[in-house]
Amino acid sequence: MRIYWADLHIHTCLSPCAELDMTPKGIIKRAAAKGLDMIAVTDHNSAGNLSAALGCAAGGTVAVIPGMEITSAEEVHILALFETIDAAAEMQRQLYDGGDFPPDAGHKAFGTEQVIVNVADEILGFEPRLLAGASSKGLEDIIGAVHALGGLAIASHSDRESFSVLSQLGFFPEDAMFDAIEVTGKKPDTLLPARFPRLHSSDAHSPDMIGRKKTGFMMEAPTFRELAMAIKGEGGRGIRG
Amino acid sequence: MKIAEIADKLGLEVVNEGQWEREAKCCYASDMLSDVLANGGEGCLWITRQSHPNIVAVAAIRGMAGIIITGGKQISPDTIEKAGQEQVMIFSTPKQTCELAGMLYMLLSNEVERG
Repeated sequence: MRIYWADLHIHTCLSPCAELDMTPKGIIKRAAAKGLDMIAVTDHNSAGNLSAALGCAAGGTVAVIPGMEITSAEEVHILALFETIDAAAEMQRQLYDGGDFPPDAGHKAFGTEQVIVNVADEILGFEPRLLAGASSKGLEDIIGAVHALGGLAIASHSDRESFSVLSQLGFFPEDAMFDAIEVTGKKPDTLLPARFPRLHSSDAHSPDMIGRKKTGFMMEAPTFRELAMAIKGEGGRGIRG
Repeated sequence: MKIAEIADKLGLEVVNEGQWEREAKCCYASDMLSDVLANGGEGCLWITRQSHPNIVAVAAIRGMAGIIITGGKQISPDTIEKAGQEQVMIFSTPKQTCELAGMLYMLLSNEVERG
């Protein structure tokens, strides 16, 4: 076992707020240059660029965990990490089939295109759904759906002034089933329940942000299953910085 | 103005019973619970589209007179159960926040002018 350094919150050019040069290929290259062993690709409410990201990472030194940053009905951001692209795609299907993020809702409203690319950074298309919107599903329902698919549910930037548990809900619900919480250090740690493991991630929207914050995990290999064990503190795995 | 009178005048639907005779002195409209925790006034009726169970605790902590959930949103049984425990009145209305807030503001300010 050794420490693997991970940045588990990175947006690609598919996210409406991310820069266009956040292509999967560019992200993997930058992550490798920053010495990261593992990243999670987490676009807003879409799994659209995951296959390109995993394709780019194949055979390289940076492992990619398929993920998604889901916006709940309360406008709380939840990082959902999965073992497979299929599980992430199923999560997306549940959101879209439930009527969330309707197509053609005005994807240019936020100024940037939502670009879907392939492993060679070639444009495959533009996502017409308004990914900056919110799901009709509440926080607990989304966490339940992520867990049902074998995924990890992490409270994104949980202590931030916007789109966080603290900003939207005032405090952590007693029965919140998060597996971990991402902290930015913007508020005193005492506002956050002690029971949740703390993670540090960059929430990168531009290449220079990748790896700016990271978490060290003691584990056997940079895989989803090992990550899940480390977050839960099982089998000698754990969070080490 | 008493909550019972306000509910009647605005045609609010009762979601959780409570202190009908309590006076509502003011109103506050916000969907960010951190904002309401910081700024929600005691004795105010709080207008929001949030229906997460945490709204009950926030209203109770701030001593608010009750919660009005706008937009005809479905309210979860968890929220209603917590409201019962905390004795926080919850109302629902199909009206949107702006319209309801305007009507409530007029009701309360007319009362202040009348003395």
